[in-house]
Amino acid sequence: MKTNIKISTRNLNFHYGKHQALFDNNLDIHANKITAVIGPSGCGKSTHLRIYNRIFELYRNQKATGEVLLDGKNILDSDVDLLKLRHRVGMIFQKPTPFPMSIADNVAYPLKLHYKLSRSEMDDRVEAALRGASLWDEVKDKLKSSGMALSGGQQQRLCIARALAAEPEVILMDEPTSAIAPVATLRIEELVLELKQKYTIVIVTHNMQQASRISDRTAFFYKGRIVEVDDTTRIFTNPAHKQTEDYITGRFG
Amino acid sequence: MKKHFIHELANLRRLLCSQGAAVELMTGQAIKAFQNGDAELARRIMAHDAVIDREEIRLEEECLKVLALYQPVASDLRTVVSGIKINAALERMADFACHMAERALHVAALQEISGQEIFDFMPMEHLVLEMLHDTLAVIESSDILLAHKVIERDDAVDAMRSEHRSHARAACVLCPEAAEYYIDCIGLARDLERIADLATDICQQIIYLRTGCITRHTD
Repeated sequence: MKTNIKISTRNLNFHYGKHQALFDNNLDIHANKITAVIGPSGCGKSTHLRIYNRIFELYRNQKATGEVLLDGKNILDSDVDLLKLRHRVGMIFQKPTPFPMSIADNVAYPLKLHYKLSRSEMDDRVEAALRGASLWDEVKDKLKSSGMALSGGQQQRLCIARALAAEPEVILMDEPTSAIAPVATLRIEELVLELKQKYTIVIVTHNMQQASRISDRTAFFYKGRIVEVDDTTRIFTNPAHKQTEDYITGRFG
Repeated sequence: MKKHFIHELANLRRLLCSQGAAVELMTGQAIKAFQNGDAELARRIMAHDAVIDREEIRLEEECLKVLALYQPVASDLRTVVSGIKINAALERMADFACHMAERALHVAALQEISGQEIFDFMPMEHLVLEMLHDTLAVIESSDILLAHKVIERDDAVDAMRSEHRSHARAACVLCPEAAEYYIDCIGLARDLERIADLATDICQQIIYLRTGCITRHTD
């Protein structure tokens, strides 16, 4: 079966000022698959992820060189429209980040930004996004209440709904369950597995079991370099590199 | 946490080695009981099978506990999974030793008949016990070279079994009165051959543990 590559990084390097954080990263992200990015703290996994929608550019003195090809087009080129890029590549962060507004307005926010919709179209899209994030049944009777009043797990699903509302092609998740209770974590993992039918997902996680449970492919990062990337089953049963083996078996990191 | 886990893995290996040593002893004694028609020894071997069975369950529970508590991956996962399979193979070996003991009981009860040829299992016994002994060393050390050496000897055991079978069939024709004894000899050769097969399985499992490559069914 032919593999569709959604994102392809080529010789990607990244600097925080004078400090080089990523070294010649080459990584293919397969379409409609979940790719887990693992590695010890400070290995560059979040840094790598944050290049995919150029969110690092919100900060000064940060520079990425090399290529990040999204459907073949280098997103690091200067002519790339960042609003459109972030429309296509959504992101979920470690801590839920609901906006200080109602549940419905949280989800409607990207719709207002990217589309001109009638009221009823808007309502339909909000409902579809909340259903997509497995949150609709829990919030349908309180759409006007504040998003901040939801539980941690619900807030994170609200953020996923908000990301889905923009109808992205890729969803980046940066440790999306590390600040959430175990049961809520499992719900989000189930949700992520459902979402891969429609989206390409890249998830950074410290939780090895989570990577092995939900991802199709796993990339192991160490000191800014990609040591090994392979099918998750292979990585967790018989990795090719000793560093990967030592990390996933808990012998370091 | 990691220290505890490494200790648990070492403990699993130790339990497997001690189970293996008990099975090796049973196998050696079962052949002796058959050759000497020693009913008393045969009964002791059969009684010991219950101990092996209890130990097999305890070992499996240990493996399941390690899986549940530590969720091992990579070589650690292969170690535990291999532990489960090796444990089952050792228990089956003990069953074959019991079969041999049952045959020994049967042979002890038979009358010796004039013209009956007494079978010499010494070369086959020697080879199988040597394989078994080396297999225990492989469990203890995960020595892949030795594992391959054990596997290589399996064909010779198969050939010896075929030879014993043909020989016993011919002996049946020459002295049909001793047919029961010869049938037991065919059975004994089969039991020894199955023990050698299981030793081969264990060595293949250790190769998998070390390399992550499944080598069985590749011939």
